[in-house]
Amino acid sequence: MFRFKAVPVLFAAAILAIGAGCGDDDDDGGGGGGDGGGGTQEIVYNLPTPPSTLFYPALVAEELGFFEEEGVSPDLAPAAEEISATAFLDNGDADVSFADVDEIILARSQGGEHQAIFSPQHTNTAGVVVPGDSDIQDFSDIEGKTVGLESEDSTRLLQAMLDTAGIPSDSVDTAVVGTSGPLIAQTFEDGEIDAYVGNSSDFTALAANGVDLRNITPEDVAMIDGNPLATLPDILDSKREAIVGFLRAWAKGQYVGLVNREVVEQIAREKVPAEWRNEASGEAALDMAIELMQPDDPERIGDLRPEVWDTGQQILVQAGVLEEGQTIDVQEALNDELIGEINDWDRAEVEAAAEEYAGG
Amino acid sequence: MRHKVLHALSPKRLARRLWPPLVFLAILIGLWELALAVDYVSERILPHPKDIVVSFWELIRSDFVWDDIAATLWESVAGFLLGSALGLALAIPSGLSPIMRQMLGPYAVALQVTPRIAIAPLIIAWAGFGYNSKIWIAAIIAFFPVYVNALTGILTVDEDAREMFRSLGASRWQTFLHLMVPGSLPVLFAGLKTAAGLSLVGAVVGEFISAERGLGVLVQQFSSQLAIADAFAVILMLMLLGLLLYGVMEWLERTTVFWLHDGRLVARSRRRAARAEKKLARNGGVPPRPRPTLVGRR
Repeated sequence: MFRFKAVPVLFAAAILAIGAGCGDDDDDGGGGGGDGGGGTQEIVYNLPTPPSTLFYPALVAEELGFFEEEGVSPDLAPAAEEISATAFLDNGDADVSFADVDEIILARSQGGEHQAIFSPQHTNTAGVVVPGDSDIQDFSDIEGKTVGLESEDSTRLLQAMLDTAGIPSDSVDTAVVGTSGPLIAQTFEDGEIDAYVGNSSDFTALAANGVDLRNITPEDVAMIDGNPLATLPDILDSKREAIVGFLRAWAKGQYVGLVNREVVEQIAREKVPAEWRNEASGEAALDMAIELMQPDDPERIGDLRPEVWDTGQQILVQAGVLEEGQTIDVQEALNDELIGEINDWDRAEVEAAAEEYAGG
Repeated sequence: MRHKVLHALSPKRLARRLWPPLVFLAILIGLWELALAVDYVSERILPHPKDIVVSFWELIRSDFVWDDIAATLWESVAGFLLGSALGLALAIPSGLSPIMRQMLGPYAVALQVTPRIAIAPLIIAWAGFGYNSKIWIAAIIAFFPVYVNALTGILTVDEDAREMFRSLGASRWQTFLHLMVPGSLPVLFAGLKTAAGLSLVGAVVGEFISAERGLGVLVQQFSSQLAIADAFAVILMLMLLGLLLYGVMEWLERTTVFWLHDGRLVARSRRRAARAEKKLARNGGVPPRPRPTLVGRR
């Protein structure tokens, strides 16, 4: 007769799995978080990547103990471009979110109260490149060509650039080729695409591996901030201290990149070894990350630049993504009241901490 | 027993079993190398098999990859168990009650035909960024084969056997436990084996969209950095994980549904006969009184 030996075991395992699926998640974003252990305040932040050299300030702040000094315990909630960064704030899944300028503008135009409170990258992380030997000299030459896109989302950026340059959108063909470096290189090599709209990190990895590229991003698009940090007013009210602490630690980490590249490299190699399996890509990614995070004024890391946001909004209107009547008051979308506090720390002390780490 | 194992591991027997897949692998590698040699495919998108093996070896000797393996394995196994539990929990009432079947059936099918890749970002937004969301995606993918196979197994129980249970006055519970459950196990295990592989796919889909660690994250990282041999090495790890999960289910099937496997059935009968002989000897030759059972022992 059949014996039921394995079934109770399977059943117990299933109960455990249901517990795991429904219960609390160690790794969970969770949006909330009050006091962590030892008086630290939890803060959930959303990034478009897993821990990465591209966002080295978080790695440095953790390794050099800046988060601990500020009494915050940050929890990373990574999500690819498929999920809107502002949606995480709306859902309560994150306290602060590194979004795009257009995401914040569009969210506000639809009645959201999202505000940018910090902007670590004063250069656009997205753009358009062509092979080094291409006959396309600048963006205006793109008419009649085939443009590869990182994702469907990149259509918005391409549309904006085309409209700004006065090129009819139906005069270029597009193809989504994704973010896989080898595939992008191959499609360029096979002549399937003439230009590629994507992310600086993809361009850098390609260049580091011998694919000669030329950046033809129009200047006004290139100057738009990459990944400004957004939050909602009620989150800011309830977690102001934690947010300031988190960003102060971030700013310190960012500063280390400006003054001591070796320490950042040492930390990145240890924290994200997978990104250094290809040495050339790792080096190039770090150089690019540091370059992108060069502040206009080192005393005001993360400062907000209203004129850049105005340009961003104009581009969205020109591209037809935003109706004239839906435009927002950019000043209301930017809240720079924290920038002074975020930058209120001793540069020499941070430099010394980095030196000590390098020596130790 | 020991003799049997040694016999199975004898070089002759091993060679006989291994040569067909090895020959196929050799042909595959030959074609692969040929495609690279004649530039049919660029080395940039298809590395040499040797480079993949070197990367694989280097990665498994590194410290960091094990965290990613553990993360993906946990998401897959938990998702598989969760999906299977849900599949069984819905299949059993559906199998026993036509009303339940009509009530749940369309939704189970609707869930199956919904492209999971499209709803994965939503699941992540709902379930959060940690392991939960990946487990749920894996569970949703693993659910359907278990549900359908368990339901099919319950519904296709032999009518004569069912009639015999009725004539012997078996209760619904007895019929379920002693007839339907064992009768449906072979079909159910086919579903479980499919679900085990699919749960790995679900976990990796989730990792592609949002994860801090996992083999899906590594594939993306390596691919974007043009470390293509490393990316293939991670894909190889995923294949091995899939085979491991499948193998575990196969083993579980052979252990549980032993009557479908002649060798196991014979071994079991021998063990049982040996136990009976021992008992008989202990009782001084008097056979023990048989335990009353509903149906005859097999």
